[in-house]
Amino acid sequence: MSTGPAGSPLIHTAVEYHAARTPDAVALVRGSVRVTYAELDAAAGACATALEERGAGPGGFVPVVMPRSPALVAVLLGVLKTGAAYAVLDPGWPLPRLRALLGLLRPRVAVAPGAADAPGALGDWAGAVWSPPPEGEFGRLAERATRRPGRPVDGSSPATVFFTSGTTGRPKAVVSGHRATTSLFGGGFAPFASGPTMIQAAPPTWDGFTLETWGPLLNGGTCVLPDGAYLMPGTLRGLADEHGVDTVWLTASLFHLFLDEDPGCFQGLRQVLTGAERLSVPRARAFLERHPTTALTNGYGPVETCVFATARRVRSADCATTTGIPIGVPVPGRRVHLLTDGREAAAPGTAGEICVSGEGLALGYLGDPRLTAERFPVLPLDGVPTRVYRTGDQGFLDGDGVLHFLGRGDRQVKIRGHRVEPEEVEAAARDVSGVRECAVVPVPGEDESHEGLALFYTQEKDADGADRLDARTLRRTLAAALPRHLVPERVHSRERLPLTASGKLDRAALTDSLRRPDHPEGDL
Amino acid sequence: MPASHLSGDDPQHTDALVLSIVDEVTGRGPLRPTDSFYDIGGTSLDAIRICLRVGREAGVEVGPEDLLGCDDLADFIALVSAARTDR
Repeated sequence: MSTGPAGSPLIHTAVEYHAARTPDAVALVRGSVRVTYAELDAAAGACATALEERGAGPGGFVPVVMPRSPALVAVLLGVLKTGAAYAVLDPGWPLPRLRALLGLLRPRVAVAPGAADAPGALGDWAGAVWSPPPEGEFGRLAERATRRPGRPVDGSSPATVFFTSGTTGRPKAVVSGHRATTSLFGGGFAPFASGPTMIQAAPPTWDGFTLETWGPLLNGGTCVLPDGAYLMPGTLRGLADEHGVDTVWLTASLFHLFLDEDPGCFQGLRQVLTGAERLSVPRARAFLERHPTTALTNGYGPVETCVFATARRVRSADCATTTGIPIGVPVPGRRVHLLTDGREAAAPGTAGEICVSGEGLALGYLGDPRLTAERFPVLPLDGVPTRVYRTGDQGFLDGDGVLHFLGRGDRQVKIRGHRVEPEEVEAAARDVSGVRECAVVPVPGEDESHEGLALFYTQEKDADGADRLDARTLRRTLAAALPRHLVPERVHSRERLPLTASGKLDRAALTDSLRRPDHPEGDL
Repeated sequence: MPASHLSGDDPQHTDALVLSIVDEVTGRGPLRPTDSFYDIGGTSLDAIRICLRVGREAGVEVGPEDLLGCDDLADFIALVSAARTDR
């Protein structure tokens, strides 16, 4: 199958395959804009030429500071055609954050729209910036396409970079090779085999974007981009009617919200994929009863395993278990191992740390070989040295070999699908002048979910004993330094933080204080 | 046009309706128009829920990005009022 997408280890050559075979098929839709595979590939080629002229090439990283758009997809394919890897950065992130990430990537060239008009977009960054033609001039981009030779890259060459929360107070840059993506979507993963028409609404800085973009495009399908920053149930209905959308991905929290507010909005869809957080049993049951012909797939996978490690269609019987909806069986290119004390736990039902091996694994954390070695050790499994990713999640395999999620072994939480290390937020708060001590805990929601983050802090006082830092100012200061999902929704000033009998910070007491209804802003 | 439990487009009713929906969704009440959605800890999911309910009860279309872009709830109330007069 060397000519087929399943045989293509590279993301961009898999898309080139479809551009050659079905040039007039629609790859991207946004409003009245329809981009065919031929146009997308030609535009990507033009981007590649422009980026190569500015130094992009194998071994390099190209930051792309652009919002979700058809042009973004062309730029990303263009980066890959140069042999470089891309990292999408949100133009809405605070400038200090953007600058820190650029420092980590050390790029020869960055992509930012309109940078020539607004040189301050990346602060005083001195490197080269390339701006693609403005939105709506997609055709012009494609006209500039030139024939270019292929670059010397293979499936293990870096292709994507995603940033995830780090316990040291700095984000981690997860670098994955082409094969992490192509092993999943290159064939054999049922939800994508038929080339779905899928909504692309996830932020491009998040690996849900990989699912929604390369899932369809590696299989000859179509990505439909909604207008507006947030997908609404009404938009989903409209796009299903207008463009034949048959597949949507929603984080579990968004899936629950859509189901609560507008349970009929999934009408006519072939499949719904969800995950990233615990799926609610009553909601899953309600969905199956209302939409018996729509496949509901629950998936699981940290970004280090590229989108999914496991997934499975949810069945009615899953809703009758006491251990929650299972997170499924390994998807193509991934194997799952449950380890206790560094050895594989054999017996079904025995809890262990979920570890993943296979082609889906990331290459590691950029600029952090120590952490890479710690999280991606080579372990003797069945006597064979095997590179694994230690997720830090606890789980067990049932009698049918299906994986169930039990919880975390550390403080990491999921907030609206984003992985958050409370330590990263605490480190940022400690940097704010006036903060003495602080603690970040998740705000408890229903079904063991987390609604958001709460920051408790004590502060330095003026000479006359007055507070120096009110909660609102502290929160606004954090918002200027952190992306939105890391900014605590609640910030509470305290005279002291609660301690356990052994003198440690009592996080459970702080969490409990958030459970009370109508919790006052003042003291505990 | 969706059914509305409001009579007419009385601005005071829009005030009360929006504040009660924001309170119901965020659980951070009682709220005043001068409160900022951001400062009361409103999340993007809260904003989606609020806009869906405002859509149902006031019969107007407002997006979460509109609410998240408002300086305070008074701004958002003004947006909803303007949309109600326009329909």
